[in-house]
Amino acid sequence: MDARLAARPRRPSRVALVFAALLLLLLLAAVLGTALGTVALPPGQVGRALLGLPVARTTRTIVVTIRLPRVALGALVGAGLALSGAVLQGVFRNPLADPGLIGVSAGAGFGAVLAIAVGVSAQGLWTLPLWAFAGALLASGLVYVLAGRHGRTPVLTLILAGVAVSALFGAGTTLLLTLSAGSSGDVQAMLGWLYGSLDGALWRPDAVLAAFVLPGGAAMALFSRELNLLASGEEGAAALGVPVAAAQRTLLGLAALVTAAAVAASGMIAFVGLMVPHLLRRLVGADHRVLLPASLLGGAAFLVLADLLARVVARPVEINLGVVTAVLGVPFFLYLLRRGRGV
Amino acid sequence: MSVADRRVAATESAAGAAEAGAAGDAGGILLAEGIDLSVPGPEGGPAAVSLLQGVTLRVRTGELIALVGPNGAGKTTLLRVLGGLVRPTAGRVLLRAAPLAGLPARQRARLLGQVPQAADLGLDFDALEVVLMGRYPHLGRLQREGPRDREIARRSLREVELTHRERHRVSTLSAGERQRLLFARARSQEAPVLLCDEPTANLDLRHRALVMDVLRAFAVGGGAVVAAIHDLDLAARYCHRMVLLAGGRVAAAGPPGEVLTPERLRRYFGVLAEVHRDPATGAPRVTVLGPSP
Repeated sequence: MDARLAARPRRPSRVALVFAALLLLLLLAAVLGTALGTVALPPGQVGRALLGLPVARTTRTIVVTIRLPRVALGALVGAGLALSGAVLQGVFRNPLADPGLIGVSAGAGFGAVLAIAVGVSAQGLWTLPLWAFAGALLASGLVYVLAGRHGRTPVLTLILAGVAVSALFGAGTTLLLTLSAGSSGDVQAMLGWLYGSLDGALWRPDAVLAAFVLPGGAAMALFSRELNLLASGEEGAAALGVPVAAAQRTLLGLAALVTAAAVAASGMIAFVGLMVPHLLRRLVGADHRVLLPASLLGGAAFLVLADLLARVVARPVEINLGVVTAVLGVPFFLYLLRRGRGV
Repeated sequence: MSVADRRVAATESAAGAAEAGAAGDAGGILLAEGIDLSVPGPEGGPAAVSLLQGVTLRVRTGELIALVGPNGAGKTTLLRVLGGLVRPTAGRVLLRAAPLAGLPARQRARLLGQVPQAADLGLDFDALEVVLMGRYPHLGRLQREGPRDREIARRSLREVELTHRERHRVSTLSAGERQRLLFARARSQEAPVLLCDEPTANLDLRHRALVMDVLRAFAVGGGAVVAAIHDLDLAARYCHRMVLLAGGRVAAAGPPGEVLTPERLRRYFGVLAEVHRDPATGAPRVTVLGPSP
């Protein structure tokens, strides 16, 4: 009884603390992301511009039409990838699942490159995300079918199926790149997807991405309880009344949708979906009703900061964002593998 | 309660259960009829492997049925069929006279709780969170667990003496504690039928008795239980009826004193054994002398 009373109040306050910290971090990241870059702006001027107070015209232009859309894009992509990662880790019952690892990103990248290759990408802002979505859906469906065995998804099969599917779609992407070698504009655009960058962010594509990520995230949140049950065992979930196959398909579809939109907007940025939910799970626990919103905030803050790093670390040269997240993510991934969690 | 009282109580409740069964649900709350289940055979082998053949089982309210049998007899498979997790190749399962296969999963879970064999509980939930999952079939999509759900979950934890572990992560629990946690989760479903696969596996003496007491009281209080149990003495001591499964068929069914005979123990379990009456409980007791030649 004493132990229970002593243990009980700890959790909610800790969760509140983590959320406060995440919000603060996101805010800080947004301000830094707006202030720093190839040209450093004085923070006071940035603050004034953000609040709509009169500032120099160039400062306003840089803040409102260049930096802010980029911060928003980073936040949306990070949030989307982290949400998808959290969902996939729950569905596959494995902390190593990540949109990149299981081939969804490769599928989305292929879809996007294909859209450019066949020349439909210019037909409206929605075309590219939809093609990327189709690719992601195809890839995730393939992984789901290939990795499932008697209704289970063992981690080794999952990763192998993911590798195989990624290789397949990667090969397809390479083929398209080769075939498009004649038109250098296409290749340039394609390479943009493959290395991941937030360069050239604009408000309108940001809005399109938000139209995928926010409703997608809300739908995922509606399935939090099913995710909890799936994460604690398929058979148990079925026994407790979860329509397992339907719930899995819905959640994989949502993860594919959100990942596809993120990849279409920014290219392939690995490891965000792996690291962020995993770290947050250790802080706030495994309950997806808490974990999903935490991942949204954490992913957003993380990617805005990573993009900041990509911009300033080798100034004036800008490093690809995918490189930054990989440099941060690979050691983390190996650390997880060494600890043998979930394997 | 003294041992003698327990014996008397056991006899009385068995009689009471029989009456309740006769009066309440003549057809049985859960009925499996002519269940066949076969799965595709291994490559190069036979086309199909039969796991269950012609199994019929009627579970009445007020009854604790012990499912016994050697390894691979089909106990777990039968429980999965009864629980609607696997569809039989032939035959049907009726839950409250309605075909189980046609019942939506959530509705089924309100009527039927299942305790799986010690499962991997995945991504580090704490004990209370796991038990609260038992409330899933009762909650709407946008509904949060209320005080009543919490109260039920805490009661289930208390019942198996896990209250002190409430806020501990599942990964820090012992195998026996995890088994009790799964039991508590199924209990918090508040379903009138409980299917348990080895609910006492990994449990120490105290908690083995505790869990069996809970199951017995639940059945006598108007529930129905089917439990696969390896320990024949434990099964015989607590169950109203024993069903002996061997090779996917029902080899014998009835009061444990009738089911457990040296001949059946030899034939189905492959042991030389004697069956006597336990002087303390009056239940049949098996003494294994060794593997039969």
